Amino acid sequence: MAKIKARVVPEGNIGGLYNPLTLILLDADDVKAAGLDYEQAMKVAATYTDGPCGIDIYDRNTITTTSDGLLAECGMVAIGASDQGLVNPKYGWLPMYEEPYTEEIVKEEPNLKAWQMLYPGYRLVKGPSPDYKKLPVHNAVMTGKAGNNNSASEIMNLVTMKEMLFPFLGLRSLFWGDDVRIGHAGPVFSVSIGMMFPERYGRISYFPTCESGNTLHNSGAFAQTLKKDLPCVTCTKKMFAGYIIRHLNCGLVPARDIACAPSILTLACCMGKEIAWERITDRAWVELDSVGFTREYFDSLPRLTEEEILERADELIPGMEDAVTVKAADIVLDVEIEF
Amino acid sequence: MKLMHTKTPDFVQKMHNAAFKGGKTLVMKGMETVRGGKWASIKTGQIEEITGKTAQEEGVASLEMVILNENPEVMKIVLLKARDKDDNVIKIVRFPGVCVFEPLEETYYEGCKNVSTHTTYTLPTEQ
Repeated sequence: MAKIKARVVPEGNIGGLYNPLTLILLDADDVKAAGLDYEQAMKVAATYTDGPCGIDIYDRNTITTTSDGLLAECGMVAIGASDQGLVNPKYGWLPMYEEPYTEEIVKEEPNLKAWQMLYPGYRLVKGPSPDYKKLPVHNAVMTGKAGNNNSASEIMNLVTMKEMLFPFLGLRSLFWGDDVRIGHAGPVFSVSIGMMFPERYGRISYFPTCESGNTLHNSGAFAQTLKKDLPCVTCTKKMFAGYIIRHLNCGLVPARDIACAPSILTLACCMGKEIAWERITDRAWVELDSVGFTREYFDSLPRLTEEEILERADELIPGMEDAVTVKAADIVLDVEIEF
Repeated sequence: MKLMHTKTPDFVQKMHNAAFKGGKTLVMKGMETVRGGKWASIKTGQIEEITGKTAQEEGVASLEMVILNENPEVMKIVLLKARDKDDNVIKIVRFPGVCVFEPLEETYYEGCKNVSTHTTYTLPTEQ
């Protein structure tokens, strides 16, 4: 019998909070070495358990985009969902879209200016491939009770309606074996992930939905409530700060090239970097103000060195106040699945 | 559309009748709150026929029919209606494109592996 390695995040208690799906994380190199294509790999992974699963395939030779517009290594090349050992043939899995590098795409999506500066030679993968996507709106794959939504960042049981958020850097941290923070998303995070940027075939939005400087949630004072009670797994604040610093040093301007999220605005102020304040919309300010991120607060921030920012990341980067730090090794199982 | 001849209550009754003719009871799930609507008669007829035949298969003691949305991302439109003191509708705000995720068919399989698909044409969207 042949085998394929997988890293499994079990359903159940992780970091004191409830993960509703077994998450099976595969390495594209292992899939290829096993002689499988992505669809076959999904079906093999589905045999691991009868319970509802999310199944994701990472490729270490790629980068992808976060909801803020930052670029991060090791993107997902396929996402899937299984239940009772089955992958729904129509809605159960999707390959992701690979964006070729062109001058035009960098003009349309200026966050990609950082691509060749930070990640030369990496391929860029984004959200579901338009050739395969069946759902009209969401970037979700679903089978039975298992819902793997927003390109593997929103994990849900469609019957119990339980959900856990796994922002890209959080789940990738588990895949890579890095520490993660597990806690409730909280009001600031709820506001923050609504501050987006426009991209086509993105992990979160299939089509450009929100200009940088604006809010996708557009819910006024309710924005802080949308996701605040959801359990959430993120990378460490120090890791996140590192990504923000590197992207700001590439000349990306918050509210113009990348999102006007509280973390990004905070660090840009501390670093004395340009911010397109005039592009932050009134609706975005209502949401930022509602969680204390007023213009006065931003203007009061001290100028810090990059080293100081990294040391004080836990204090500077808001959100996830009740989170605990957990080692990936304490959660993730390394298994081999036979086929 | 010229194929949509079957009224919803008739659809439900036809299925119960088809099972009954085969000597079995049918429990129908998913239609409890459905009011109104017209069903494609081609499919109604095919489902009636297969229901009747399945009812008579050896080993079958009862039947259950589950009706759910095939596309799990259901697109709703929400209408907010304001009425005056005389109950007249004086304002409507439309919220189109409200998506709801619903469980898919595998939720109802209960571990059965003997699953076949009955269809006589393939939609262009399936090709």
